[in-house]
Amino acid sequence: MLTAQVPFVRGGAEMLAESLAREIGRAGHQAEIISLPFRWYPPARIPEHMLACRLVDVEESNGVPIDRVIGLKFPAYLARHPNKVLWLLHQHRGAYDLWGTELGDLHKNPDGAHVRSAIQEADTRLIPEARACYTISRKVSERLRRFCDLPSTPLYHPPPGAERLSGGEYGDYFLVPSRINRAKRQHLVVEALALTRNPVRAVFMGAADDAGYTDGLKRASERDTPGGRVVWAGAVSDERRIALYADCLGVVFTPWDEDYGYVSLEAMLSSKAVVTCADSGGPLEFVEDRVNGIVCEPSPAALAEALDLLWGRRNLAREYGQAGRQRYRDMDIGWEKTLACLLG
Amino acid sequence: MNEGTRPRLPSDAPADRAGSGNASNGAGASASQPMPVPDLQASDLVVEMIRTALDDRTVAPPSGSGGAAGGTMPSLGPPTSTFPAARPETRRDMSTPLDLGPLMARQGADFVRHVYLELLGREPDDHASFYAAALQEGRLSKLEILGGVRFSDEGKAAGRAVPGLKPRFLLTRAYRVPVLGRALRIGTAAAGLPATLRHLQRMEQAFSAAEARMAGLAAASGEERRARMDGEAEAAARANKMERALTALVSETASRLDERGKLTDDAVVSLADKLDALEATVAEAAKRAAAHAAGGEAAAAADNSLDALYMAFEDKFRGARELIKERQAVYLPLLEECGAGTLARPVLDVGCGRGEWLELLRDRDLVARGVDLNEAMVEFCRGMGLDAVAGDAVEHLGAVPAGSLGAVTGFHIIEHLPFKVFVRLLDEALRALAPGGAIVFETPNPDNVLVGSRNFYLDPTHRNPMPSDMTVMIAEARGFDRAHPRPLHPTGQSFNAEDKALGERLDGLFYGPQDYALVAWKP
Amino acid sequence: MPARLKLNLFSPLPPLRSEIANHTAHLLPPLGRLADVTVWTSQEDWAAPDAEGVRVRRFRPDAPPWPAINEARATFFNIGNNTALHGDIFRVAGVVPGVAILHDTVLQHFFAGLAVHHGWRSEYLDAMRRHHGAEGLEQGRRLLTGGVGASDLAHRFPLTLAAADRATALVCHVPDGARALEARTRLPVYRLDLSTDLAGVQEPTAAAKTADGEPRRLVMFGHLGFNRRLPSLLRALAEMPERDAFRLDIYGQIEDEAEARRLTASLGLGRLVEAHGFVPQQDLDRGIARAHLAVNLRYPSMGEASASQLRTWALGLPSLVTRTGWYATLPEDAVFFVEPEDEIGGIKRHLARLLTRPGAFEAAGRRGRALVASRHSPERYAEGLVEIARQAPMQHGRRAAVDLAHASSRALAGMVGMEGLQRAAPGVAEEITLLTRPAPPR
Repeated sequence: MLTAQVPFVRGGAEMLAESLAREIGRAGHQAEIISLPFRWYPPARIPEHMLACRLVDVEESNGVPIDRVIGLKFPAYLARHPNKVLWLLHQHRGAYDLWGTELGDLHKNPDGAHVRSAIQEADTRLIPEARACYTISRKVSERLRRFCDLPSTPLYHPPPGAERLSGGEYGDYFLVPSRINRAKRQHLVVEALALTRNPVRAVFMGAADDAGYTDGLKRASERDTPGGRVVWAGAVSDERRIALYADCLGVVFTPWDEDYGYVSLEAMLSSKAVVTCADSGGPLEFVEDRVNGIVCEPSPAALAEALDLLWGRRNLAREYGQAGRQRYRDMDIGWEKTLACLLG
Repeated sequence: MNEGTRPRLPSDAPADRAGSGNASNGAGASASQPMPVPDLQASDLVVEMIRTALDDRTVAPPSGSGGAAGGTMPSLGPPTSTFPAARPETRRDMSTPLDLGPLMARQGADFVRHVYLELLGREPDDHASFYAAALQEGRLSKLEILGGVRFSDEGKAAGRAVPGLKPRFLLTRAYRVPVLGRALRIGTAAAGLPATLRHLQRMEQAFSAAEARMAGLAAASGEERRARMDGEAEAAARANKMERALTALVSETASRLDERGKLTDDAVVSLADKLDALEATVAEAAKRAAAHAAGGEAAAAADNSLDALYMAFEDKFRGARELIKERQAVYLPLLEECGAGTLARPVLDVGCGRGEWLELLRDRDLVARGVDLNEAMVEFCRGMGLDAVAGDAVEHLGAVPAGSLGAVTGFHIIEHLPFKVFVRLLDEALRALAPGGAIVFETPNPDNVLVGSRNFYLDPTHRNPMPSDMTVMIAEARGFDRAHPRPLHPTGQSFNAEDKALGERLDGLFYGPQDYALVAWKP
Repeated sequence: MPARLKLNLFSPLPPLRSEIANHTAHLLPPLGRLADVTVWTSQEDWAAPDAEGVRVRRFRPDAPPWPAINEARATFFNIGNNTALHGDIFRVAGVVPGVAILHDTVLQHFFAGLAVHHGWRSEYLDAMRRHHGAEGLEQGRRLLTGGVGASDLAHRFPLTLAAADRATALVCHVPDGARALEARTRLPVYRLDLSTDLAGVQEPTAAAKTADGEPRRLVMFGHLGFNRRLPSLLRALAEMPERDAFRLDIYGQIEDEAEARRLTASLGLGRLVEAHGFVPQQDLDRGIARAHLAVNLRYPSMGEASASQLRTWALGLPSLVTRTGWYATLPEDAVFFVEPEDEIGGIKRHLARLLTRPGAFEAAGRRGRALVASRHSPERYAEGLVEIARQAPMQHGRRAAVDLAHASSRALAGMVGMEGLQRAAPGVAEEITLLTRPAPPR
């Protein structure tokens, strides 16, 4: 597996690589993660990183040929191998969907357009070198089609520890999982709670990425929704996480343009309805409005309405939740299929 | 890395392009449409690579007995970061002033090495490779490296005189635009000579004014030595303040230079020389003041008790709470316009003082937090149930996540800041604001001469009057959009002059807006 | 029909007195029809171009708005020898990879100007070293100490490619210059014919000219620098017995005016020569229209194509040019050549023929005007720029390839020396090529 890593930063990509390595090992193969360090600034150095990746030789090791290379992240996936398959987590987003947006920074550099062109052309030319190109989600595939006009197939994988999640009671709280930061937009939920007609309760679960943002949320919830309606659970143990999923009324997940998002899958595995937003990206690949959850506009008012609806009609919440579990089963999300594609 | 094409070397003269498109390409006598360009072949790049390597070798030969580069030992850094091993150098005479000209003509690691030799009298150490790399990558200019070495502890101890370095170093540092790799100094030039002369004249005026101000400060410090309430420690502090004022003046000048950009190098040098002289005056004044100083510690210890004093002062001069709130209400539509005051885009008020503004916002259900250095003030705010924290405004702002604020406000705060801190405040605010967010910094308006010449100085903690054309220009230079001054609080009086035009001019000078707010948006 | 491209063009604009500013003004209407154009200028005031699809934005050379600049598909920089007009533009071109339009290919004066008047000394020496080696560096030092002038260095050390240190491609108006550049750079070099606009330029009428028997009017116009050969023209006139049959009108600024006046007086030509200084465009056009011959000599050439020459042709006027540089490539039947080695003799012969065979001269003027209409139209130039912009991915790839070749050769030479580099280079170069060659059109 070829991936790129920003040293000392661990996130979903690293966990995915490790899960994949473990599953490949379980399937009876030998797998190794090759991580190349990546620094995205100054932009002028990015082409040099790309060249360095091209020059990495992974064709054989110790006299034994390496049968298959799976490329995961830019620019590591550019390395040469006759039997390369890509499973893209994402491309270099600053050159694509984040270009010109506040979240990107490449376009703010004098040589931004130049480096962007170098990245796009190299991707467009070299991604097709691979025997097959998969992505982790429809979202990533759409971007690859839109920006590079390249075909690819989304290949879903189960969230870590999927087998341990299961349904429980439909309790008197919504679960709001995921790390707390602006891109996940927990403030929409906090503001919606202040607008609900019912005394809706919510448990926010996840570590604070951004202390200032989190403090602001906490202060606002103390002011607007007092009386223990909001609980800040923070980072929790795996057991507690599973239990919180099992006994909630439903799951609220309102990120902006998420690539994939384990939360919706975890909710479905726990037989819970998912409340998400029309611009949330990844969750929309799994949540069907009024079937296994509610897809609403990204506004506190719309969100409050959705929460009120499920709070007031608990049978509906149960119905959506069970439909979600069924949908997960129907989508055949599992490592067997993933490995068959990546190793086939 | 730094160029596409190198000079032809004798060894690769005419043959290197053989086979890759001949002269017919693109140069047909009657072709107006651009011709297709032949593909770049790997063989071309091989030639380019060999050429680069040869070139680096001929121009900057890795010399020295240690064989740092070019020998069989692999070197760890890029070639430019390895220094030639020590070789016999003629002993530098550190007592003579250093002529910058020949030194500035040197390049890369060679330049850095000579900076060390000239300013420290020794061969460079590991830190020098940092400088060399920074120079090569354009992160630092030669001037900045010179200044960095000369004004390091070791450089100060060595004390080599470098005429003209300090003001130029300050100019460069004060107005460095980080995003531009190389600090090039090219005139804007396009508008031609008459404009140049005009700007030069304006500069000269600014300098005369600056000199007058410095002289005034020096005189004032003499007075104060005799004054009962100031005492000698205060005189020393005053001298210290004069030095800071000088730094600010230099920066201010630099800002004008960069903005107008139409000064010739000679003008810059002559201005720099003037500054040298000015600086000498200040140093002299400081020395005299210091001779009378009882001790610096007392001043520091007094700082906290001064907080209470400042509160008392504010009570006296800034008017009643309701009046202030009424005046500040003019900013509410602006907050609405930039969507500030929501949970996602809160307002941060730096130097929140007694929290009139915070209270006003809270009354309107807007989310805001204040920060103030003065603990007494912060306690006061908290007592009123307002969200305020004690701390340094710029540091606090620096810890706020990027893009997370709807507005950054500050009432009568920027005139208390050293110039560089003001610039940092702008930078941090720009970083912390969400797109479309705004800054509002209200400050006394020195365009009103009564404010500029007298009232401003009623507050002993004020540092420099901040003319609006300067703050607007700087806000723009730091990356704000639509920066403009919003004039506030005219006295409402007017001159009863026979000559109406004259009367109006005098009204503008004496009874015009006493404050203004610097308003600017994050793009 | 491909979508409209977004282009940046960094250029001086009228009312600045610059042929490049005028050229841009003529170019903008047709360019705006083909693409969305943002013209970037650092001047404080400009005449708003009368062109759809074009907007003008001011930039501050110390803080250009990179996001806005990065919106364009391609960025063009007008580079010419005037430091005041092109210094700021060059400053941006030094950090933004884009297409450098070289209005002059000999740029020694430009860089020397930056060094002497704008404190760009070390950068100048660095450029001299990198582009012209140890000798360039040595001569550059001499220039900075006043030991030698830019004109002395211009042709041996033209510094052309110093304007292309971050460029992705070059545009040149002179065939010879394009060929010479191609041999020295891996970047794409394009040639476009400089353009001028015939709209608003009156067909020449016989009525405008003075009648037979009255003196023949010669005209010189533009920025009359050291290489415009005014002294040679004066000497040639003075040597002609028929000299009273001529008048010389001079429009524009004479670089060494005092010397010109002194020479005119000492040759006894005061009655024949009139210097008008700068005049408005329509006065200039009227002055040119009533003339019988334009004198547009250049020696040495700075590798430029001459906007004055196009203007002369547009007004249907025959012209004397030096057989050098771009001028040497002009059609024999549309200009009259003066050989540099027999300058005064050549001028005298042509002037004498102007008196005896005026028809040949009038015919040359008409052919010149036809030439402008067919080969030098702003429409063709605009189409050329757009075509170049369409090739931007290839140009960026080239730039990246060259940069990567430099970076990797430095790294390799530092680790394994020259021999090791020679062994490793083909493999590395192959990968660079694969990485930077643009994807096939989609």
